[in-house]
Amino acid sequence: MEAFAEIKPGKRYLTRIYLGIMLWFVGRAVQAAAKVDKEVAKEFENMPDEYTFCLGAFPNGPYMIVGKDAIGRVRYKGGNPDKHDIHLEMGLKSLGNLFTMFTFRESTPVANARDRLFVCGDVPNACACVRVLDIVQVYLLPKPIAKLAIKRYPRWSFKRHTLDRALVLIRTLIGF
Amino acid sequence: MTTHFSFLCRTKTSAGTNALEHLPFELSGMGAKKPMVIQDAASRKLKRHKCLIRAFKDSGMTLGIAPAVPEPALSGSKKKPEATAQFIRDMYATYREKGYDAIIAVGKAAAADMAKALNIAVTLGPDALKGTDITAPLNPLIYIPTGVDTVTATAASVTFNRKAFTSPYLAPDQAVIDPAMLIPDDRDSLLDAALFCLALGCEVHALSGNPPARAYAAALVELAAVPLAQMIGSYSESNLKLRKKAEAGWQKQLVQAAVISGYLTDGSRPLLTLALGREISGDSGRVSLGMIMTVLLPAVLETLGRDRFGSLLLPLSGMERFSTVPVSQQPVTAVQTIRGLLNGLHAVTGGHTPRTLAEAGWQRDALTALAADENIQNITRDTAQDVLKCILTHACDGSPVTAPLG
Repeated sequence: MEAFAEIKPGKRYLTRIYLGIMLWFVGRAVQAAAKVDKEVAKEFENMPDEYTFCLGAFPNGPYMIVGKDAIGRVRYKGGNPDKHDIHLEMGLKSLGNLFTMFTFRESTPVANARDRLFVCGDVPNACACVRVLDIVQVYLLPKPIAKLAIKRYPRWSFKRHTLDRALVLIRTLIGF
Repeated sequence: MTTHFSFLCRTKTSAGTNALEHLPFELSGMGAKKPMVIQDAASRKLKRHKCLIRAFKDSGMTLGIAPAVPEPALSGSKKKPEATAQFIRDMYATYREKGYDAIIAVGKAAAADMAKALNIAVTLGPDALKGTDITAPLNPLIYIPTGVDTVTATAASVTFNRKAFTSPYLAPDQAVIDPAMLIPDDRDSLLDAALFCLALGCEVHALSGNPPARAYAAALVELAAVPLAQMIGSYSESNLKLRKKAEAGWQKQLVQAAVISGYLTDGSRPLLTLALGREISGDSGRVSLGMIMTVLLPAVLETLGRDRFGSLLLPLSGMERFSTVPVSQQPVTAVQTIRGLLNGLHAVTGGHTPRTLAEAGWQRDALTALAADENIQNITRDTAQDVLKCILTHACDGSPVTAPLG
């Protein structure tokens, strides 16, 4: 008879680093898109002032925190949820689920349908956040990859596909 | 329309790729931080707990991996009751000493039954296993099947040292079906499990007046009928690669069916095919439970269904065929479909699958005596003796109940 074994499962360091970079990039892109894209700006307008949401993996992240400040500007607020008053927490049930989503093997709607997503907060704003993330992914990713990440690739104007996209990418990189 | 019914299924079912990855979240929701893993010999030998450890990475939880449970299963513990009792004693001491707070059962019914018995001991104290009513929730219990089984691991009951425990709190809190955890089953096991689930699902769907139970039963019938039809088509597939691929597909569906079947065996009404099947297959020992149950099924439906089970044809053969059959012919067609499946299986398995109880080695006289048996009368308490006799005699020669006996 084998002996009883107590095992502490390890950590996925590389996965955590990859997701940390992706969430940092997407968070800054949300901030940039709120200034460039009217649809994103409108979604944030409908949220209350100082409203903050985070996206991450259960139980220890990594996280991406985005929120509105007192004068209504959208800001990427880093990756530490303990430092902020979070109004809406959107999470994947495990780090592996978040990795599957951010390696575009599963889109957000598919992850939701497979019961991988959980929300702590109000659902209407969670839906708005998902719409914002979908738009940001279209800005950031090439069309073949973006098609894997979202439910349906949108029909945008030529300006939105070129000039707005360039502005979002530049603002994301320089961070304002 | 049914107005009075009650249905309780305490088990959440999760199935699909990476379903295991949700476990830390689900356990955390139940207030558990340190689960103990109980697994059967096959799972332990093939190191299925490694998939579990991978799924728990970054969760911050600690897993206790117990040795393989002693074989055979608790339900048949006549052979080694001391081994199972010793295992429970050892695991109880470890659970208490190291502060575990949940149990994950990995494997088939042996692991599930052991986990249920251990859960009674660790929650209510070891003396509870000598016989007590379970009226309060037990510690969280997760069941992860690794293959098909005709003993219902998800049922809210367990037998330990010949003492039967029944309580809604015995059912697992969650059943997680992840393809990564499955161990390939042989074709005979798949066939037996499919027939078991088909018979159970058909009986509940046709004879139960409980809408939620009928919804589960419809899912069960569909999950079992599709692989059975495919089995008839490709049972003698000679290409090993294609055969393994087909079997893996059937197994995925049948594991889900086996999990659902456990939810249907806890109703207040005893299931006639299951009760009679257990007695008959236990006595003969030559033919499996699933086969006997399916042989009994047409006679049970025709005798007790009173032509009101036409909707059974829908999960049994699909929307396309269902819509082509007039309402008045649906009950007859449903029974014909079941008999057709049995006949097809009899042909492709070279006579291994019986179509009648006579082919399973039973004589009519013995079945008549069985109908009058006191033990059978106790189990099937709602069914009159002459009805039982009618079912068994018609199942013996496979003739429809409307036809005169030969």
